[in-house]
Amino acid sequence: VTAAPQAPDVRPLAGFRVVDLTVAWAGPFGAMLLGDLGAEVLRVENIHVWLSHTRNWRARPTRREVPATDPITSGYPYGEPGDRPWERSPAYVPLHRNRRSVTIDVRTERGRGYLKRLVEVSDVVYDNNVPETLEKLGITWEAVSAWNPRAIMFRAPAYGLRGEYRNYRAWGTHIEAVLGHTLLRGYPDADPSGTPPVYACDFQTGVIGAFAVMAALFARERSGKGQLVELSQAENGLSLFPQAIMDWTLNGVVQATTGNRGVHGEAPSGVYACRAGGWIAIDVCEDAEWRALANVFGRPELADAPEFATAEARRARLDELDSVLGELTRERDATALMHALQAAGVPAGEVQRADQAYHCPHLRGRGFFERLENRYTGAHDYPGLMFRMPASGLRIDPPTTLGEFNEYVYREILGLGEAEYEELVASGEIGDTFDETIR
Amino acid sequence: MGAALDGVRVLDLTHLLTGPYATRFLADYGADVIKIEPPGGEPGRWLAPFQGGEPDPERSGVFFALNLNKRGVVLDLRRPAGRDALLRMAAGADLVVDNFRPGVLERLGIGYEALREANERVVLLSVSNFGQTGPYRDYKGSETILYGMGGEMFSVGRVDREPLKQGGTVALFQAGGGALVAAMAGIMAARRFGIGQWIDFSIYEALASSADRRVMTMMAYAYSGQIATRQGEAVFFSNGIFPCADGYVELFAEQTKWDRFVRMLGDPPGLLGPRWREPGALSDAALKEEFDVVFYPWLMTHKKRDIWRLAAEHSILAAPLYTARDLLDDPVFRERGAWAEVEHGVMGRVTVAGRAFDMSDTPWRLRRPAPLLGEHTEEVLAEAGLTPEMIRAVLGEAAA
Repeated sequence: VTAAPQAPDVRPLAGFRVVDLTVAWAGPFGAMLLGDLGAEVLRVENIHVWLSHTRNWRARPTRREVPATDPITSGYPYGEPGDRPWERSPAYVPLHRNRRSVTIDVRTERGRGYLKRLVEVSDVVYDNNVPETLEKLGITWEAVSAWNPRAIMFRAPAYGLRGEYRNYRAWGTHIEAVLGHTLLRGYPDADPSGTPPVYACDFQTGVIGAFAVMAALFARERSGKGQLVELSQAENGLSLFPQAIMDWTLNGVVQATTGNRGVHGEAPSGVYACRAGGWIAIDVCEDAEWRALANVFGRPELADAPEFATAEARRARLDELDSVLGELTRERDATALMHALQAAGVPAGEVQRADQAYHCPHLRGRGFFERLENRYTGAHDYPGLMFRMPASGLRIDPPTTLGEFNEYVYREILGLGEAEYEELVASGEIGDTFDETIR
Repeated sequence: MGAALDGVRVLDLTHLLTGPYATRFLADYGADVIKIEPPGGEPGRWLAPFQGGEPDPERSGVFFALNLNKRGVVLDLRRPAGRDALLRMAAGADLVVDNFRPGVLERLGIGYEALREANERVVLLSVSNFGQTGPYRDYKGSETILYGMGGEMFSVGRVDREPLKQGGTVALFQAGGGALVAAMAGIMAARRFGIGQWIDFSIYEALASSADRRVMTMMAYAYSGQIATRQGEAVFFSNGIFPCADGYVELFAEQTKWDRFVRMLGDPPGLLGPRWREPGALSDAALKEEFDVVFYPWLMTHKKRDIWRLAAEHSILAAPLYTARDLLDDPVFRERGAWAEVEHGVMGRVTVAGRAFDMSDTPWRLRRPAPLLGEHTEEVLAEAGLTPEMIRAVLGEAAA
């Protein structure tokens, strides 16, 4: 019996190796996308250093110490942190598929030597730390380009590598504030101090970062050399707000929050309460959609009422429309109403809880979720690839676990002898659990 | 060296927000992005704000920002000369991007099969609300509908109020960023391995893939059954958005940063001592009252940018709540080159957000403003090898 010939790897980034030094969410998300597209992404961590808010806020909380308030923090498999909570956080695991975890103690001379050797045989160094973190370790562009002139170094600190804000600390929510996003959302009738956080730039740093790396790899095909790509998460995020920015630069108008109203003339436009805590978003653009909506609710007289029949008329009565719709939706089931409105051609969608999206028949019907299993979380369906590239043979390798690929990286990639590798493990410099002193 | 994507040609059939957002990045980093518009222009030309406030297809600020660096061509794809011109251009394109509703491209006779006949290695990226298949395929979308269904909107807001959308059309632009990844992945696959294909990109799925908590809340549910909901007050009192002398600041000073935080406030006597360092102290209602008495007067005598700087000096997470005006006024953003000034044929000199990131060897370049309607039709069609008669036919159709 002969093995079937293996199909060649034609994933878009097949053959490229990425050294992933990222933290929190924005960096890991971009590194994940590179892995999804076929790059070998080596997730570098240090078992002697805990990066808070990357693998959750603490390494070893007991079950009693897990707060009950926020499922992202507390939603361990079956509610149990277990003896390796860092392998079980829903904030971490789903962003770490298509990776190979290796631990390096970059605090030591020897560890930095291994990292240097890894960079020598890699194509990309992918980072989103505050600049001084890598500078203290000597992992600068000058060093990386000297180690490997073909290497691309991607760095995405919050505010860039130069300028007064370069070492300012930030999470996504702080970047949103600086970008003006926090004042552009929220309830129009409430003080902004009650506006809860979103993390739009974590998403955008990820996708634009993955693009930037691909563009640099593309350019390298011609030039033969790597380059430094610097992405300020804040400046990158400016692209999300053309309405507000252009209104200021063109007209001197400072935009404020519109709540749930669309910013391009949709009327009615909003999110309306339904039965049993459900909510439905409705955005009507065309008069025909308004007429269809009136019929779905069994209120045909609204269709041709002069105060609502035209977009112009409806835009002048947004508050009134909100009360009309609020009455009409209140006793309806949000899911059924979404389908009824959409079937009639009215733009409407349920504001779905996480469990509703997870069981959504459309996502399921398209095969969006994929069953993945690793030794510390068991088998679960995970959100899958962001898009379908039918001819590229994309696949998802299960979420990696700490140090899972140590032997592969040190022995096969770096070519360490058995004795040196065994000594590294025995000395506790590398491993598959965090240092016991880290609680 | 030139630009990173020199030599890449893109036929951009997209309109409105998500598609044009994606292709602007391709144009910014050197691809020749040819924007194909129907006679009269794509609907994105009617998106507010307009310079001067009055709707005008050459004065939309949103259209301008999303279509910088592209060339503009008008074709009537419903008519034979327009369709033939498109297929000829496709012969020399790496990538075609559309965001029509599913089925429209095929009905126009320029679906994937037709494009592939013109160019075996062409990549077609179809961006749609819900994808090319599945029960919701033909459903309509909007910023709020798609974010509400796909993204983590449900848990954003006050417990006693409706869930909140993001600002502007952020979710549609997030999807645009995802579509950009798909576009570049398609180009890489075609150039490296000779593979052409039809990429199916669903905005709903992009938002359901979001690192802004949706993958996390879905997995928290799958793991533990817990469901993220809208919350009440912040979990500890030195965390949140606070008023200050000239607006608002956001601050996050957790227990481990308490000493630094108090130093930043000038070591006020009321906040010193061990009881502030007890576990749970920063969630204690009685301590909150004592804290507020010291903290609010401090806030009211400090401006948002000064608080930001002070916090940075003490390694405390903080940020001012800026407006667009504050952003444009910020000296650091300006010095770093965040803004570009562009001369436009109708609007004059326009300031717009410039490059998203810096490449040391193949930098971002400002090549041209957003195209006027049909500005490059003749030039681009001639480059594609159309004869003068063919070009006249295309122009005739578009004018009819």
